[in-house]
Amino acid sequence: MTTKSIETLNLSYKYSVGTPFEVTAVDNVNFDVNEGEFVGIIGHTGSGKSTLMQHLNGLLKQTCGEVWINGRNIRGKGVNIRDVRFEVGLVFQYSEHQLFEETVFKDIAFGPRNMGLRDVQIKERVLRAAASMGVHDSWLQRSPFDLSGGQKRRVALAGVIAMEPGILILDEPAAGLDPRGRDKVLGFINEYHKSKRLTVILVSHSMEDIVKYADRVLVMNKGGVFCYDTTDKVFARTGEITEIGLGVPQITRLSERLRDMGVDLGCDVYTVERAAERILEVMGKSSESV
Amino acid sequence: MSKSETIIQINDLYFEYSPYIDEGENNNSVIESVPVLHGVSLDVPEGQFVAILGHNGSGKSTLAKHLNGILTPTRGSVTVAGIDVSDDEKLQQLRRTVGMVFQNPDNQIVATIVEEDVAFALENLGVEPAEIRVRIDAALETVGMAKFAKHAPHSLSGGQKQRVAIAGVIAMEPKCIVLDEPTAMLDPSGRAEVVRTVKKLNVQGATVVYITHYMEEAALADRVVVMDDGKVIMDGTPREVFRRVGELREVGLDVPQVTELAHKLRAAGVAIPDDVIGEEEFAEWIVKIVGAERI
Repeated sequence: MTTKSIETLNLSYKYSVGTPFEVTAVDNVNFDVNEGEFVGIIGHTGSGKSTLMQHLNGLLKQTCGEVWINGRNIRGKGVNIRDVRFEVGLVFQYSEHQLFEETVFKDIAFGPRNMGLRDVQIKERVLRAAASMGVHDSWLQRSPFDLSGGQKRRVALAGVIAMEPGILILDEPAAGLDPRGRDKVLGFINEYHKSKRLTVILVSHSMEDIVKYADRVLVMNKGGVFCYDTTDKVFARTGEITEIGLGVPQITRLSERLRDMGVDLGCDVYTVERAAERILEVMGKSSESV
Repeated sequence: MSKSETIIQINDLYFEYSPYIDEGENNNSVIESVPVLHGVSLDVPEGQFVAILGHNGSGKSTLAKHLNGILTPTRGSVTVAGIDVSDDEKLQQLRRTVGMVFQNPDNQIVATIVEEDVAFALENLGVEPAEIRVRIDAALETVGMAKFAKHAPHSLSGGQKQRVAIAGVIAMEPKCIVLDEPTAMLDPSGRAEVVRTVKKLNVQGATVVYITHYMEEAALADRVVVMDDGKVIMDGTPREVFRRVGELREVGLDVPQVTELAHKLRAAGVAIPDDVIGEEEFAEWIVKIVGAERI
């Protein structure tokens, strides 16, 4: 049996309980993530995905239900919530806004220092984390504010990774970056995921990014789980996903359109590579050249 | 095309940030000036929808900031509707001619009620109250936010806030609207709302300069200008620009997925044009080609 990294049981969260403004942001959510899995989460603004994420390291306390991390109830007896925060690294949107130290080194070292590690261990961790996010050695003694947006974002990520959490939760890590910056950030995250086999949750509005990296996709709608399945199965439900206000990749829309016109490429086309293969198959050509 | 139809004229524009002194611990070293734009020339006819692409640091925002005089040329000239942006005395006139919309809606909204926010600039300009009322209503109607006129901006979604920011700009009735990554912080439905609104303003006659990282948005423009290292490196219709897949990749940009697919298929020997940018036309091509193969 595989170990569950994350498991939520009937998790609900309400804002402003007992006032006329009471809102249920997370509504009876049950979902689990296996150890080493890469899960994508999508949902339009206000669907509850960020609120859900903030429960996973105990930043918010649920109105009811339970959160289990690595087989422990994080609100259970004898569990120190501080330890949970070191185990579950949460990277917020526009994480570079949280940089504050004089140098890149000090910023990355902030987390490990809070963990009470010795200087020599801190240094090792900073160097390892910096390398894994493509933060160049020559930047370490510079001010983080001298770097470009994408570089700052990677420094902020390195700061979380330096705590060496077993679970990494990323809320829109590529938002606002240009295509090259986006590919770099997500590429480093993916490499790190593979080499450490750590559990990753990627929250994103970009279906293109989710399909590229995630094993499974959780779709949130109105605070609840709309569906949670493998990437193939989720994107086969293009119609429903579009109905709840989410975009699907352009290539998936194209394949739907072709089906309506009598050319069936299958229901699981969401990358350019697969679309090319399928079109060539339909034409009776070998797809080896793609 | 006659000269009078050109609304934006950028002539051999150079811009560099001024030298400054870096107050380090021991040495106050002078940081040499930082050149950002190197000889940009661009003419935009009235009513055109121009998308500007380029990776971060390519100079596109610096260029945009010249259009309403936030920055002024180090060398060369920029004129909009006949106003030289370097002319301090005409700054207010320039700002009424060119409206700017930025990336983060939260940084652009100043009032606590939507309609008061839209009225902000008009009040500053001393427009008559009765006229302000008319313009607010018209602007909110245009961006589809009329029924939120009395709402508090913080209760709106990102896409809605960005449309309120756009309403604040169009209430000044500018000839030209410059948008610097207006959809970067929005979700897909918010992005679609903003893009629809911009397209509508353009159809109604506004000249639009639209900076974006989303290739699908740029594909909707009349013209795409690609910047790299402070220069214009490509300039043409979306079809002409996006067919240059390899060059775009080299400067760190993408092409729309459909264009990428067409290129892959061409490489595999399928006779599809290399300048397909829309889903509909692509689908028609495939149906035609597959139909021919089956016969």
